[in-house]
Amino acid sequence: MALQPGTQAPDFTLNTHSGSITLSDLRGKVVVVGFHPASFTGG
Amino acid sequence: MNTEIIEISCDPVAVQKAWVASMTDEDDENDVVPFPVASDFWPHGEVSKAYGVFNEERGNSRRSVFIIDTEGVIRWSNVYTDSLPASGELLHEIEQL
Repeated sequence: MALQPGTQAPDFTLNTHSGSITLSDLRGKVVVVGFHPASFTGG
Repeated sequence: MNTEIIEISCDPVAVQKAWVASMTDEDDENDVVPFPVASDFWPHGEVSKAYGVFNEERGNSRRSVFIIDTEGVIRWSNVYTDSLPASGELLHEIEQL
C-alpha cells in the first residue's frame, strides 16, 4: 500500500538523466515525487 | 511556491537519458525536460518499494504521485490505476501547503 499523508518521506539518492539527486537535499522545498511504470510507453 | 519535481521509474539510467533525448531537441539548449527523470533500477525498485508503489507482479512502479512538504513529510499521495495525474489537482494540493 502506498505511503499515506502524515508519513515521513523515505529519503533516497538516485541517478537521473542528469546526475544524481537526493531527496533530503531538497528540504525546505515542496517536492512532487512521481512514479511511472515504464519510460517510452506514452506516459 | 518553491517546488521541485522528481520523476522515477525502474528503467536504467540509459533509458531515462534516451527518453529525455527523445522528447527534446538536442540542438536547442533551451529545450530541456525541467526536472530529473530518475532511475530506480538497482537495487531494483528499492525506492518504489519504500513508498509502497512497487508492482511485484510486473517488476515496475505503479503510477503514483506524492507531495512532500518542506519538512519532508508526505502531505498528499495518490495511485493511478486507470488515469493520469492531473496537473490542476496537483497544483491545488500544493497551494494548500
